[in-house]
Amino acid sequence: MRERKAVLLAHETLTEDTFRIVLHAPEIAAGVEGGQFVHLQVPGFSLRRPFTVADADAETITLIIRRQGRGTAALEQVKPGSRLAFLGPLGNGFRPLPGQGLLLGGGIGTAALILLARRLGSCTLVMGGRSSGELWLDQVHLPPSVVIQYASDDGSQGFAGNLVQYARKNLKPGMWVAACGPRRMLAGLQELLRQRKIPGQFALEERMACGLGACRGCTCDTVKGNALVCKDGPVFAAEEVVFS
Amino acid sequence: MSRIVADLGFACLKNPIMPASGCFGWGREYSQLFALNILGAVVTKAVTPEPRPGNPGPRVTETPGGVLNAIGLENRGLTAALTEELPWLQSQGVPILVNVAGRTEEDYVQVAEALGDQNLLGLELNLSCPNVREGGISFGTDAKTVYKLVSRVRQVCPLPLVVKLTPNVTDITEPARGAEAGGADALTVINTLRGMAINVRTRRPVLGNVTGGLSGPAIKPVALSMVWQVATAVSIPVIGCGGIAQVEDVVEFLLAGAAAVQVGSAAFADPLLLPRLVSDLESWLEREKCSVEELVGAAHS
Repeated sequence: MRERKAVLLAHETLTEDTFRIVLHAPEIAAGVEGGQFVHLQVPGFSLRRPFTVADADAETITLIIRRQGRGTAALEQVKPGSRLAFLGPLGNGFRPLPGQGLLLGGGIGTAALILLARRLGSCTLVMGGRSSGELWLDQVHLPPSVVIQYASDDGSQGFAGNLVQYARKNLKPGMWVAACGPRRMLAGLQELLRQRKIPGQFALEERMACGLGACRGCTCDTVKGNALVCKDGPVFAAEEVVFS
Repeated sequence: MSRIVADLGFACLKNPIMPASGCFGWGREYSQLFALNILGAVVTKAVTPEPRPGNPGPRVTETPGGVLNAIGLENRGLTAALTEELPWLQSQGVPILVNVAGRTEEDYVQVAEALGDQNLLGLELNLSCPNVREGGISFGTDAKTVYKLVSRVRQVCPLPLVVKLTPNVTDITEPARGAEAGGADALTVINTLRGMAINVRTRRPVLGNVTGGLSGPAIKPVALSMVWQVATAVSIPVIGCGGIAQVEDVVEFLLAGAAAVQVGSAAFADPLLLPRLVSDLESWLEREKCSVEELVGAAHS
């Protein structure tokens, strides 16, 4: 593993609180797996920030980021042309299973599924949110073989309801599920997958310090005991995660 | 002798730079980025007799100029340390300080006794963790308790003993003197300062443990003043720790009286910081035509 520097090439606003940055990272772009992350320096801050690699082509990686606190707000101000240090790709990505993939992204969690959708080629990718104003997936270009759908709590776009309700209605035998989103959503999906005996994988999010597994800052609870989101995850088998 | 050698009294290190306990695991992860034997020493994650699951998350968050953490001494216990972690680290050719923690005095004695015949630079007794309910900091705030614990460990363990002190006291020189009287060979000054952060959106504490330990550049002036005080109060070497992020910080701690330094959270912002501090310190000493030995405590005269 090496510490690398990437030039920030572009910067785009997706919604009121979500933006996308494109980094020139040719050493890792081709090999990165959906669900893996980079631990990115934010100039002037004490901790790096872990971001899922939302998308990649031959030379660049794309990060889709929701402005959440001071660090992400500062990152939004970084000017194109700036060089940012990062470690990565880190962690374990999704492991595609046989059958049709149903990819369920709650809000910003959708970012963890885009590269997987691209690599799968044929699958269904659903983005869920409270209302249409939060849904930005139409601004991501994916091949037509990836079926894009939406779910909104208020019914303003796509399926009316949350992603657990969506899955309850649309999950078919022979499918497998990849999901990332709020813990409550993943807990609901876990129960549904258990009932229907459908395999799934969840990408988890946690605050991190080292990003490498040394500091034990990002521990999560699993059926096998403590696991590190950075090193053992961020993608876990759905049935392994303990939501409490 | 090389300019950059650090004299801890009980041992000389090739340089005074080491990671702070807890920030570096057992070094495996960082060994993917640089050879550990570049460092003066490695200080391990705390070892307790039994495995500890640690605190509920979130465990880390950033505050202005610093990092709050409440890991809660998560570790796999003494047996895993002895059979899996230590043999690997001992193969890396770097002096090792194993950090030891516990809930009771007996816990420290048990771990220290079990490690006593290992090839180590020494043990670092963690009498200062702010994030566990029993043990940790509760041992480190009272001079008599520190004296008693260090004396008991001294009786069962022939290795050099470094005692890591907490800044969460009225007068840090009291536990420092207690540790020295109990037989400590050196002191690490300081562990983190207790602090907290509240999320105004959720109106709840950010950390699962509510409070945590503050580290990072924000605490450097506090750490420096405590190194200064302790270096005056005791005659054993002091290892400075707290907010070190660049070579000038290292030099400041040496001038305040530290014989060596530990670097913690600044290596999160820059994972290559430790090896860079070694080379930056070499260049600094070369340029200033002086040695670590000449700098230690020089600001006191």
